[in-house]
Parts: sequence; structure tokens; C-alpha cells
Amino acid sequence: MTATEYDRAPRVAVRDYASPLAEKLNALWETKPGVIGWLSSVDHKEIGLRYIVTSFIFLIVGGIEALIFRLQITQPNETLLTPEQYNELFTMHGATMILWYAFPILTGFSVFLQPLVIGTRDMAMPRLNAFTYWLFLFSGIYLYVGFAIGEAPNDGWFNYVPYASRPFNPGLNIDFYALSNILLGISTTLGSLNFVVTLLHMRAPGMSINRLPILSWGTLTISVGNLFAMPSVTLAFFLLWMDRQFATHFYRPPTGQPLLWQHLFWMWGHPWVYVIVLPAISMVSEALPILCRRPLVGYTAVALATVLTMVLGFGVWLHHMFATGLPGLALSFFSAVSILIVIPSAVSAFAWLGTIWTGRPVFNTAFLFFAGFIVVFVIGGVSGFMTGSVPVDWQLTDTYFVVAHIHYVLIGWNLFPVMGASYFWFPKMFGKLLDERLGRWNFWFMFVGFNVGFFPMHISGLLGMPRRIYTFPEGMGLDTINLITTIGSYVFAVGFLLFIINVVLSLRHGQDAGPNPWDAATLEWTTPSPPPPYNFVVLPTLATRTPLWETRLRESPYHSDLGKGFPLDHGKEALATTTLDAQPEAILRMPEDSLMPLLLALALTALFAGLIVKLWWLVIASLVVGLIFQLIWLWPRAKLAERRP
Amino acid sequence: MADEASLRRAGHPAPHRNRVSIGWLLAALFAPPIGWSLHLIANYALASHSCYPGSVPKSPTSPAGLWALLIAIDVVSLAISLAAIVFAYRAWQASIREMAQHESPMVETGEGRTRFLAVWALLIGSLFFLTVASDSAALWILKTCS
Repeated sequence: MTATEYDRAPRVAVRDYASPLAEKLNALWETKPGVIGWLSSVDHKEIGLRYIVTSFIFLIVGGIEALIFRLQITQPNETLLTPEQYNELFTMHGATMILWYAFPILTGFSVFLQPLVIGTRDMAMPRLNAFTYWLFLFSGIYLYVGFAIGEAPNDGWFNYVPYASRPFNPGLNIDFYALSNILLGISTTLGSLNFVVTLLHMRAPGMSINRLPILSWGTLTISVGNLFAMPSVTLAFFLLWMDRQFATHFYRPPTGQPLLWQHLFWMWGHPWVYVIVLPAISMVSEALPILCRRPLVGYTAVALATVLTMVLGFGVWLHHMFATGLPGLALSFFSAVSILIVIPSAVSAFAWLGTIWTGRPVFNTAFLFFAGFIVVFVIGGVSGFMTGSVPVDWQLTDTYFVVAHIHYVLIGWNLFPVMGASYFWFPKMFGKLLDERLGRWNFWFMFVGFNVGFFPMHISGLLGMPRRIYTFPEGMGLDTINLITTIGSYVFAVGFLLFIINVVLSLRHGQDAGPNPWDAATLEWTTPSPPPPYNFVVLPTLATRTPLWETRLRESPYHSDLGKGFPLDHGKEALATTTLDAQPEAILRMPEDSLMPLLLALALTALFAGLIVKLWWLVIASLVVGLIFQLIWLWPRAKLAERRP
Repeated sequence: MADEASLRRAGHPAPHRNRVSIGWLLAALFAPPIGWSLHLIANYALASHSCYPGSVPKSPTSPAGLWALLIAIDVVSLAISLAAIVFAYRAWQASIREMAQHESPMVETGEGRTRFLAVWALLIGSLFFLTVASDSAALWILKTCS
């Protein structure tokens, strides 16, 4: 984007999606047909859907890995997998789910929805948006190339040294993991930067910071959080790669410290837990009230709770290290914060319960997923609260209790909201409703399967079953409980399969959704379904947080203006507004579709391919080509007002 | 520059913005978490270093002075949060009627950007005061190198 002086008299037009103005905007913003057009697209909706589809593919792959290694520990002394195969599968499962599914799926929803909910036409930096998607995709492929050639990461997703160091792990397994994480880290950091700028500077006029949709608070919060968290893990992996390939001593005694890895990893790792749940939780806070036919109870507190959870999340990393022998007083500081973080979490939970209690819930599939989420949110929260206590954690650490907790958090707090959000926003994305009957089967299979599969892990953990073992002997009282766990996980997988079937059938035969099938209150529902390439034919002006419910809520003496506004049709244009009060500030010239994001991502991936095999000519060539692509990308153009014509 | 008529109909989101200094309000929002972060890092680093490599003090003379230093850090951090709470309360009082009240008591509108930020500052200051105080409690309960 490029900010330009506002140098023309403002023209105001009426909202009409069938007008010549709409046709003109369509011609300006639409992606060109054909393969080149598809590869060049910078449309946030197109990129958002790509993120969502790719993330779901990673979810399926990671899920299949889990289904395979669950068979290995269904009964004692099973020999389906070797210990090495088991290690690779559970590492790939963890890495895929946490890094290549859980965050990118939320990024996908955010990339698709955020410009729509804040009333603008695209992300602030559309080409960067495309670049981050391609880099995410290539980093995942990079990781799975290692898997395909038998060099998959095998040290758990947490990748502790010294086992991850070269003397104990001489293959390329860990190098694939380290370099793919650095590649993904670049994508995540740049994507977060894009969200921060978009949400702070491209909101519709009148959408002051206190009117920001709760959905946007989740994305804004974790995007800022990522900017602080990502450098830590990127550095951690870079230093590890240096230790492994160039014999540096960052993690190697006597001059290095193995524990440094855990510090750097968890300084990122625990905030990351919130990064991959807060936007999902915000999706619940956004959609649940609509299905309860009332505004969210305690918007101010819930928005603040989102921010505070992220901030406090930076002060709890040591609770992953309670058993490493650090001094008790030091542990107590982090224990206190780990327990106090339940305060903002509880605020959200009570707000949801209050919203349901005082509303008139519509018991559809989306609502079921959100209600189911609240149940597992509480269970996962309570087990987290328990492990926040040092003495309790010393008993539970490295047992299946912690495996149960992490799955209640990551599936419960991420996948259940994502499923509900899919049912809720699918009509906006594709113009079709998902089938409700199949949806209920989908929900009950997943909810029952999840709890049958993962709740017993608490018990096996309390019985003393250690995590990260590839088998267990008989006669320890763990046989039945592991069988139940495996059965539950397969029922859960069937539930997800029903979702895929539902998507395929509904895309073909689904009922037309219309622009606002849920009678919702926010701006995305003022556009046709699916939205046109330019999103809004005229830019709305807001007076309240719920512009479509103003009449019935009588929330304010002022009124939003959705029927007329700026068309901004002198090219691909969008509006910049002020940070706090969203007062109009400048007109932005938005870039055209471009192949440069894809080409630069390819060059960067080639560079990382060269690094892993130490093919230095490829590294240098990729670097030079990448710089050329950057120059082409950033070359000042008159059309974008970057230089005088 | 905007569609003036639409903006007039929508009203300004912060009509009481001139009653509260935005600079001080932002300071009240950000100072408590920054104070808490510095307190946590300093306390952790000092407590760990003095007891390194575990429960055996590195230097036999450090724990007594260390305890006083940790308490001093906590007091400074608590004072920051307290100052933020006092300022935020005043800002909240100055902007409490920033936007018209809703007709239904069930709807929490949070309207008025100045009031919204003042309420946030009040809650943020309170939470971080509680968090630092909880950390401080450990200093009175546990031995420095326990």
C-alpha cells in the first residue's frame, strides 16, 4: 500500500452491488483468470481460503500420523512400529498440528475475515499477504521432504537438546525441523506485521478502538504477541543449526548450556499456546452472541481479557521447566503467574455463559461446537491450573496427564472453535449453508470421540504412564485405558471425516445462504455471499459496535451509515484511518496482483534447500535471484504513487 | 476529508477526549505490564543467579542482600501499578458519561473511547498489582534458595 495526499473532492455514492460502480470496482479488483492469475492473486479472500484448505490438509496428515501411532500403544508390547518410527511419527504429529495447522488455520480465517469485519477492501500489504502464504506452504513441504526421505524430525516438537544435538542425532532430521521452522517463522512474523498495520490503520471510519469487533481483538493481540515471541524461537533454531553444522557451542557444555534451548523455546512456546487459541476463542466470542440473539456480555472485559492473557502468557514459560532443577524461589514467581492467568480466562468463560443464559440460543451445529468448546475449555483450563502449581507439576510432568491437558487445550480450544466457525462463516465464504443434519452427526462424533479419547489420558497419567514411550509392558493397569483412548481417537476422526463430506456435499447441493443467514450484526454480513473482489461497493461509516442491530438495540443516539459512503474508484484504493478513533486519514493506492510474492518465496525456499545440503552455489544463486525479485517487487511505481509520473 | 455527513450522523467516538490526557492514559495502560515484566525478569535472574546451580547459594553473603533487593524491585513495580490505578480512576471519573447510556441494562455497550481506555487502565493496573503482590508473597514464604 502507499499513502497518498487526499487531493480530490470526496465523492459519495450509494451502496448498490448491481450498479455500474460495482462493475467498475469488480474490473479493478478481480483476479485475472488462468493459472498465472491464480498464482498472482493478492486478494485476501483467495489467500485466506488457501490458508484454510492447506491447514486442513496438514490437520488430516497430522491426524493420520496420530491414528497410526495410537495403534502402536493400543495394547502392551505392540510391535507395529519401531521406536525410531514411533519417535518420528509423534514428532511429525506434534509439529504438524501445532505449527502447520493450529496457527495457519486461524491465520486463514483472519486473512479472509478481518478486512471484511473492519470494513476495508484488503489487507494493508496484499503482496506481503500472498508471500506469507507461499512461504507457509513451502515450509510445510520442506518439512515433509525430510519425512519422505526418511529424515523426519524425531525429538518431539519441543526438540530438546542434547538429544537434538549432532552427537546424539547425526542425521538431517533435526536440520529439516530447524530450517523449516525458521522459514515458517519468517512467514509468521511478516503476516503478524501485516495484521497489526491492517487492524490499526484500515478500519472503517468511526470504528474506534472500543468498537473493534471481538474477532479482531484476538487477531490483533496475537499478532503483536508474535512480534515479541517469534524472534526467540527463530534464534533458538538458528543457534541449534549452527551448533549442529558448524560446531558452535551455544547449547554444548562446558561453554554452552543445554537449558538455554528450553528457555528460548518456551519463551516462544508458551505465548504460542495463546497465539493458537486466542483468535479461536475470539471467534467464539464473536459468533456465539449472534446465535444467542444478543450482544456479548461484557465486551470491554472480554476484549481486555484477550489482551491480558497474551501479556501474562509471556511470564509463564518457566512452568514448562519446573522439573529442570531451577531454584524454588525462581519457580514460585512463574507459578504465581501461571495460576493468576486463569483470571482473564475465567472472565471470558463467564461472559459466554452469561451470553447464553440471557440470550435466546439457536441450537444449530455452530452453537453446539461453541457450547462443546466451553465444556472442554473449562476441563483444559482446570488441568492447566493444576500443573501451574510446582509440587503438583513435579508429580504430573512427563506423564500422560500433560498429554491430556495439551490436547484439551489444542483440540478443545482451537479445533472446536474452528469447527464452529467453519459452520458459521462457510455461508459467507461460499454462499452456501453447510448441512445441519450431517453437522449434528459431525459434532456428536467429534465431541464424544474427543472426550472418550482424551479424558482417559488424565487417568493413565495419574496412574504413572510416562509420555513419549513407544510401548508399555502388560500388567500395569494401562491396557484397557489405552484401548479406550485409541477407540475414542478413531471415533473423533470419523467425526472429522463427516465434516469433509458435509463440505463437499454442501458446496454442490447446499442451500443458498444469502448475505446474512444468521441475522448477524457486523460488517461482513452487509456484503453479498461470497463477497465481491472489492468487498464493499462503498465504505461504511460506523456509530456503534453492532451496526446491523442498531435499530433494535437502540444502542446509541448516533447511527452508522451503511447505505452510502466513499466508492474510492480511481484505481485500486482503500482508506487509512487513525489508530484510536478511526477518523479518515489518507487514501491508499493498493498494488495489483503479482507473481513476485510466489517467486520470492520460491527463491527463499531454494536458499534453505541449499543450506540443508550445504550446496553453497545454490545458496548464493538463490540469494542473488531473491534480491532481484525484491528489487522488482519494491521498485517505485507511479501507479502506486511511489514516485512522480 | 471524509464523508462529512456520515461522520456527523455517526458522531465522534470520543467526545470527552479532551478531558483526559491521552499521553498519561496510554502510560497508565502500558506502565503496569512493563513494570511487571521488568520485575519478573529481574527477580528471576537475581534469584536464580544467587542460588546457581540449584539450592546451594553461589555466594554465602548474597541471600540477605538479595532478599532486600527483590523486595525493593517489587515495591517499585507495585508503586507503578498503584499510580496507574489512581490515574485511571480519575480518567474514568472524568469520562464516565462520555456516551449516552443504553436503554437496556443487559447490553454493555462500552461506548466512548476515552471511558473504554480508562476502564482498561483501571483493570490492567489492578491485575498487575495483584500479580506482583502474589510474586512478592513468595519472598515472605520461601527461603531465598529453597
